[in-house]
Amino acid sequence: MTETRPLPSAADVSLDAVDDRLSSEQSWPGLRRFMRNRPAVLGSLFMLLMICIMAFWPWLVPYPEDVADAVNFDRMLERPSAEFWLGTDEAGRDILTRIMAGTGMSLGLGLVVITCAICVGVPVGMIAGYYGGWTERIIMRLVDVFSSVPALVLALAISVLLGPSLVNAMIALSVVWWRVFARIAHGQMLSLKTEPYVAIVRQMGASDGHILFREILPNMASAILVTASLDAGAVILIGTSISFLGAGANPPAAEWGLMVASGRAYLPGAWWPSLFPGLAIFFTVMSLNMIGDGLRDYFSGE
Amino acid sequence: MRMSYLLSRLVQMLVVLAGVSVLVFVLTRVLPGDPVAAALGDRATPEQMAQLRVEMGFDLPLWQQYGNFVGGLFSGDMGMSFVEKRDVSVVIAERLPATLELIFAALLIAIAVGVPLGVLAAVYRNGIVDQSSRAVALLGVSFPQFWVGIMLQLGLGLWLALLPITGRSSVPMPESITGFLTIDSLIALDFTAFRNALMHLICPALVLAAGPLATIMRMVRANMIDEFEKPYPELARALGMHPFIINFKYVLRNAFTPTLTLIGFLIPIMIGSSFVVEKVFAWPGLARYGADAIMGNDLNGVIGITLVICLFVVVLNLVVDLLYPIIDPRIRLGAER
Repeated sequence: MTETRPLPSAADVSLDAVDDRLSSEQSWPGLRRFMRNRPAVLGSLFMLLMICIMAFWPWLVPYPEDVADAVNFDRMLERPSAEFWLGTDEAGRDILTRIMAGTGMSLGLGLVVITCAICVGVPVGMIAGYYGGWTERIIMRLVDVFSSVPALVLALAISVLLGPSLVNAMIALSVVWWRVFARIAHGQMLSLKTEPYVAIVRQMGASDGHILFREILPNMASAILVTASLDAGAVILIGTSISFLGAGANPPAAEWGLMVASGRAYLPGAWWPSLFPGLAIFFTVMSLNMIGDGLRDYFSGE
Repeated sequence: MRMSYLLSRLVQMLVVLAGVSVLVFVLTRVLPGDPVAAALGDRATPEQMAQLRVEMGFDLPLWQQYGNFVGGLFSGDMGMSFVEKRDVSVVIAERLPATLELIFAALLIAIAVGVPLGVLAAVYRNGIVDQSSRAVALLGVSFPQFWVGIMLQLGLGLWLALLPITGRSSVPMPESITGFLTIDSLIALDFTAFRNALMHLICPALVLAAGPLATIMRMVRANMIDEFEKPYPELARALGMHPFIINFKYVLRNAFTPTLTLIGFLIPIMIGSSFVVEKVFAWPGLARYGADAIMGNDLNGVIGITLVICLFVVVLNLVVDLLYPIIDPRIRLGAER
């Protein structure tokens, strides 16, 4: 076993200083470069709006009592009007109110699933790539197993077996999605571990943990970030599909996929209960994809 | 290609299949969903439930249940389906062609439209095709398929009355040969049936094709642009070769390998999407049965479907890998990297 010595502090300090200088020189032009990508800016602005709605909807919605299982017999399935901008659903609830209240469920699902998938997938993929041999073989075969069953199918099955609910749908999707980040981290690790600085730090006596998470991880952060922002949209699409099929959020939750499903029964006469929640999903996912594309172009220097 | 390569790939496939069977088997047995309660309904007595539990072998230890299940697989027995009240293998055999027809149709649309559009977008970079392809690509991967399916049913099916809304056919179909209605009706020269089957296929196939089309188009564009940086297209142009020949015969072929990899990745995603699409369009395929089986806690059905899907995915991925050296002769399968 090699003896682990603390890293020479002088080298640390000087490297940190260089880092600081680099980042302070680059951050503002970097932001400006990102801002030149118009779709990405548009997506970011829309996402900001969604986050505001997610945080403040109880004060913003026009009919707060319509969020849950209120029934208003006097205004069932009313067309969009000045009073109800997006119309009302089969229980006479304001659709705009419910869409705004449901923002947190979809965004939350995306955020929670991607975070869990990163926390599990990245370390596992890094370990596979760094140590190689049987560790790598076993982990990557496991990734293959998880990849050969479609994400929607596996997540749907796990969610039903756990008992349909939004939280269980999140758990199911996290169980499915870790493999995406394991594969990214594995691929990145294979190229990064051959970099000269890794050999140097190892010679200086750094532990594997230090090399993996302090030296190499920051260098794959951009790849992980790009995948995370692009996959957040895909996760939301699958999450709403699970709710649409009846294995996610339960009525009367104002979940968008669920709203499309329950509005479907009133077609073709009433198209608004199924049209507008779907549009909400669409714009949310599109803005996430615009941000993801922007980040990818930014990091690849296009 | 070396025989040893094929052999090692087959072993790898078996390992993945065995892994999936263990994964799904353990998930269905360990997670709290109760198949017996789901199969018998609310009015079942505890005695009835206990009896079915013994009949299904759920009282045995887990490893013994798995052993019995694998033993059954080798004789083609996947157990009874609770939802269909028939053997799972029979249901799968009956419903597989419908799903395959849908997925192949969608893949055909995605490739036949996505590849030429990607080439055009790369050739006329930043032109109108490129700009609109960027927008189309963004739309294609951003909408929820169940919702677009419903909107197509509403717009094309109900308001414009151009296409049927659900199902696979509405006229008598000729005798089944391939199980693909469009091909069977063509073989039988029954053009009424062919038109009917095709009309039913359009909407679900379009919904399923949109996302893959978008990704294929962008991938082809990006790789074409990389190839254009190399000297040989310029040389071909200087030799007076027709741009169409340069772009489609030479540059596209060199740029196609990553797209092939992408197609391999897209197949499991498309199968997943077909669970939603078949449900929306009441398509009588495997995926719709799969969705019903999952929702109804039909464990044998869930395991059977998952294994068939997994088999399909690994086989198609092998096909994709075997295509590499045909498209790019520089690639040697199984050679030391």
